[in-house]
Amino acid sequence: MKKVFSFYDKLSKREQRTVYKLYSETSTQVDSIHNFATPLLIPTSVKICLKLGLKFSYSQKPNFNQIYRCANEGIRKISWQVFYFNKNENGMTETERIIHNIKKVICPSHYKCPLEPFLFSRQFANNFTLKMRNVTQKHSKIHEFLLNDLKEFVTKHDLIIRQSDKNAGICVMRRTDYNTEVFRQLQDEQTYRPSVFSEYSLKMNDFSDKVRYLNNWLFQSLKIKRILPLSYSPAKFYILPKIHKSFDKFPVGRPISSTIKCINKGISMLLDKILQPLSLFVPDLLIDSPHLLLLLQHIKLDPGKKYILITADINSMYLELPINVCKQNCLKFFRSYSKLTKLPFPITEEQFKTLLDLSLDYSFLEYQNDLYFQHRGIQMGNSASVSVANITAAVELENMKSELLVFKGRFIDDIILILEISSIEVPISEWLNTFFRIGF
Amino acid sequence: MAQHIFSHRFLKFTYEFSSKLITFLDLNISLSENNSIETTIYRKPVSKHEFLHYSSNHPRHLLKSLPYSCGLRIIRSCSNYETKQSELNLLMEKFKVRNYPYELLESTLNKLHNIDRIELLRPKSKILLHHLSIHRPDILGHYDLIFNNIQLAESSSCANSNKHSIFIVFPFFNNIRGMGGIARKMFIQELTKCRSRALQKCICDLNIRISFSLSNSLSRFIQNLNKA
Repeated sequence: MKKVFSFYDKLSKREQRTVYKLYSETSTQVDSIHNFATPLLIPTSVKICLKLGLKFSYSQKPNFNQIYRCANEGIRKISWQVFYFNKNENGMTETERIIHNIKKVICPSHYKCPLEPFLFSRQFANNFTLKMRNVTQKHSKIHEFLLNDLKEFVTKHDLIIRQSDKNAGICVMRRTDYNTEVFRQLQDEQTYRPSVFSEYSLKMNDFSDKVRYLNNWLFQSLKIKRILPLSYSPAKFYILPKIHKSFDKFPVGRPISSTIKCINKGISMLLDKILQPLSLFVPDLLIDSPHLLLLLQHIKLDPGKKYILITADINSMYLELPINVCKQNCLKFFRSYSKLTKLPFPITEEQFKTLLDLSLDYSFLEYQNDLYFQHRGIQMGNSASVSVANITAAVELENMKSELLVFKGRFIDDIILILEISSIEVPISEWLNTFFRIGF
Repeated sequence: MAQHIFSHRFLKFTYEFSSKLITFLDLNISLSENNSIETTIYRKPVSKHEFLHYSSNHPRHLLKSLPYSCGLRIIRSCSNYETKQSELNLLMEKFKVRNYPYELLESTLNKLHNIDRIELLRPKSKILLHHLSIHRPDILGHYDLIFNNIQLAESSSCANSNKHSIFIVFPFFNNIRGMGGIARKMFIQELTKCRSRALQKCICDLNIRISFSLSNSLSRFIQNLNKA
């Protein structure tokens, strides 16, 4: 063990046992680490950590000051809730409630509730933290030395560790290789164009103005702070290496933009809430695989006839859908079906159009402090992307019907068809070429 | 005729076909000789199936329910009894490698044997029920289900949902086993000490819930290293 771990002698006997147990548990597992930084070898201590999987949660001593602050925040929240309940029962009007809500938004923290001393004793937060201190686990699942080894290995060799695409293991890559692949993708002028900070801030101001203009009707059902965040940043761009596809030196990456801190995150979520009930009117939509199983169970095929199973895939669907077409199709769908279903809140066509503009027109990306703008297709991390793509594809493909179709289902960009081909006399592959003509 | 229909001005497609077996989503769909449709679960050949390691510091109930929910997926997907059995055994082997205790896997397997596939396929989620009520009411009739449109509209409403729930967020919930229960109990105990009758009535309506964010996972640690 001393040869495997350089720090083995520094550990206490109990810690040595824990490390040995971890080593013996992981040594039997199949290696799922892909090393793209050859000839560099991955040390055993790093391998052990990575074999546990990136979702593994190790324990560490918690920050008790933070727990104390959280407990205090809990006290404040509960007291305000009781305060409003009490006021409501004593005949508080709707306007008064809205004013109180605005006050909460303006000064969200440090706005102490007058009821706090009546509900909680002074020592409560302290007692709570003390209790937590007593029940905390004393030992970490991964020893600090192992984590330090991992940290040192990554920083010394300037590496990047990422989960690979399609859950095919963990990739260890050199930062230079990773950056080359990222910039190769970002330099595709048909999809992205470089942007500058002044353009970004101008667009963001424009966005804020438009949202504030809509404030009058939005505010009735939702808090503005959910729609318009105080702090925001462009989407973070990263890639996941596609190691399942053939490659020469370094695999092609799947581009992903994390929109979690974007200014239009709230608006996109709101738009998704409206589009979801509308997308249920798409007849061939598959919600998930249990839905498909349920539909397949209720298909009865004639034993005397000939059938063929086909799966089709729309090539890079998100990039190929033009934003204008997406907006037109969603509007068309809204006009046709909004009256047939109850939407989460009343919304006019004009307001819906503005929501679409706000959600789809601000696709800024950031990588290593460089700004880019995605001008082709819909953004991959946007909350409303799935619903927008579903509805757009449904309108675009609605004319694709055939008498031979027995079953048709579509899950975003994957299509499944069952065709009855008893009457077809030419070879199937030849016939399919004419059936799917140029497109397929 | 059917020609010239499946084509589009800007969308391009790739297709595969077979008269016997195709893969779609996570399913292998096959046609038998008498044209009945059979399904089994499909796994991508590259997928490593690295389930969460049992010694991870996640809440215990989550780790215990993981083999069960993966088993449910297999029962739902496999229409053939023998393939279901072999897939379930294979799944348990995979969990064994990730250090799941033998007793837990054994009891999960026993529990899974008593589950009926047809009952498992019964539509439950409101979104699915709504879709079926519009396009395939015959399936709902088969399961004796009647669905009211208003139910969905109310459930999907973003306003007024979780009206009475208060979430107290502890970022290090995972490190302290059972912290959720302890915290909730302590807060409720403290609140019940309140003597004002008017306030007591309001306290009864409260629904205190503890939530957490996963902070100490390896992925976060590595993310920070990647940023550096």
